[in-house]
Amino acid sequence: PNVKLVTSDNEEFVVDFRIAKMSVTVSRLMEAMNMSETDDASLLSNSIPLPNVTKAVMARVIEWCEKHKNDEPKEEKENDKRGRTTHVVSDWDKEFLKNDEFGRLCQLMGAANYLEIKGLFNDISQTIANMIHGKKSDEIAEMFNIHCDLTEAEKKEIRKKTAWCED
Amino acid sequence: RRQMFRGSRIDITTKPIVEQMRLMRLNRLARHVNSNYEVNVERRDYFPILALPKELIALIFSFLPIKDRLRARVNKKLNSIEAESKYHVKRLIIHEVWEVLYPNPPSISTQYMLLSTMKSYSSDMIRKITNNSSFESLEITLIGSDKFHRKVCHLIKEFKMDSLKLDIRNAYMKKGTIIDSFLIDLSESCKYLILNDLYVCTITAETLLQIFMNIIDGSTLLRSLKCYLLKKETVTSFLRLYGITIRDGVVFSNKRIEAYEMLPEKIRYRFYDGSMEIAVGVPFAYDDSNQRIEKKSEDSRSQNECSQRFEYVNIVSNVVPCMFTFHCFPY
Repeated sequence: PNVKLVTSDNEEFVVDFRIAKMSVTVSRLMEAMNMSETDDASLLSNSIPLPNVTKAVMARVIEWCEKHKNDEPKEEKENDKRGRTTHVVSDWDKEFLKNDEFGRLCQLMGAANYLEIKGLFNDISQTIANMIHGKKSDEIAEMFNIHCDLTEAEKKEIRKKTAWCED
Repeated sequence: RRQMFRGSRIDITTKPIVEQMRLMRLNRLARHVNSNYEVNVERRDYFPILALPKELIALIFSFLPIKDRLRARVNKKLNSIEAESKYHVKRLIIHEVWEVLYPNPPSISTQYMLLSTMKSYSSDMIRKITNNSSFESLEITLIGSDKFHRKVCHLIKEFKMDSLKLDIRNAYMKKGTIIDSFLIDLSESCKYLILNDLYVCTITAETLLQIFMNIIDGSTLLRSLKCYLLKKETVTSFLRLYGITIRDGVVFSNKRIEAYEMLPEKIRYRFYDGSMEIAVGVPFAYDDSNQRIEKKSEDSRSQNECSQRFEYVNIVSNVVPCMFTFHCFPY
């Protein structure tokens, strides 16, 4: 069974029900519209509006979902000794994300967040976190083209609190 | 592959009125699910992190170790996000060391914060961590005893943590810090508490009993207390207060408890009263611990040796309550 998704620029995407289900937001909306996998009429007569996603971004999202539709649902490891959210970005995903230039990646992240596709969102977050990891403050600022608007007093305060991580 | 998704353009206005209304309602619903935001489509050679809403930046930060997060505070927006966001850390080890051998310790497996005894630190950074982080497991080892260390000890009870392992190496500092009121404060701020080497501390049996009772009636957060090298007298009098006496290796009690004598590996005696377990035992290297206890009371070397032998005899026939645990079931 197929589901129709309509993006902000009025583009209609017809995707498999399973793919649509990968987005928590879409599956919630389908529930609200009484659409079910077994009821073909409900799927044909309705379409899901996604006003926060453009067609270009949507195509990328669906591409990602197509690749991952058969993934086992990941269990949250309780005894994971790692001290923070960690996520392993698969090689395919790395290649996939490489194709997006940064502006698009940013939109993709927004879409993944809005559509609540956890795997994709974690992929992108981890990719960006990897970019920050191990860099010095000025390198981070340069990388993201961030203009420092902190006052001298604020800078001093920050330096005081971060003294231990500047070896 | 892409052709599959290319659907025909539809015109929403051609839909029936009811449908339109439903769409409108859903549009509004969809907008509520997440705040709208826009990002310029123009090509960029950098990731426009500042264009993201605060929540998303905070989420990216949650993928980073604390050090990286702190370094990322390069402008006002990022600084305020860092300051406001709450972090949940699975395991943090704050370890003071004589020499930092590895400037970049294995930060991927566990969050490490290595402090060097050669440097001086401001307690502001500890306060900062207490303010917006919660921990599943926190391990603190402190060597020094200056103002910073006292401040840290003072701040420990403000940490939000499930489990705490505290090791203060300086004997004077330990004696002054780990006192009855400190123990009671900690019993109210964490679930599992492990305290190392308490032989110099003057914790009273009455306090232990009070904490024990608080665990039973659930008036405290603590579920388990583990004390290493607690003074022998303290433990025997705690057991006496609770209603257990051990004489020549024989357990006497008028309570309905189960008592087990274990081989002198880690735990020597185990008592179980239906909901709580008390374990009294010898530490991993009990000879060493006895030396420490004896050094305090004996001055001359020959006496020391003599009493050591005496203690050793005691190990076989009597309780050597060097490790002391009690916890509540289910653990």
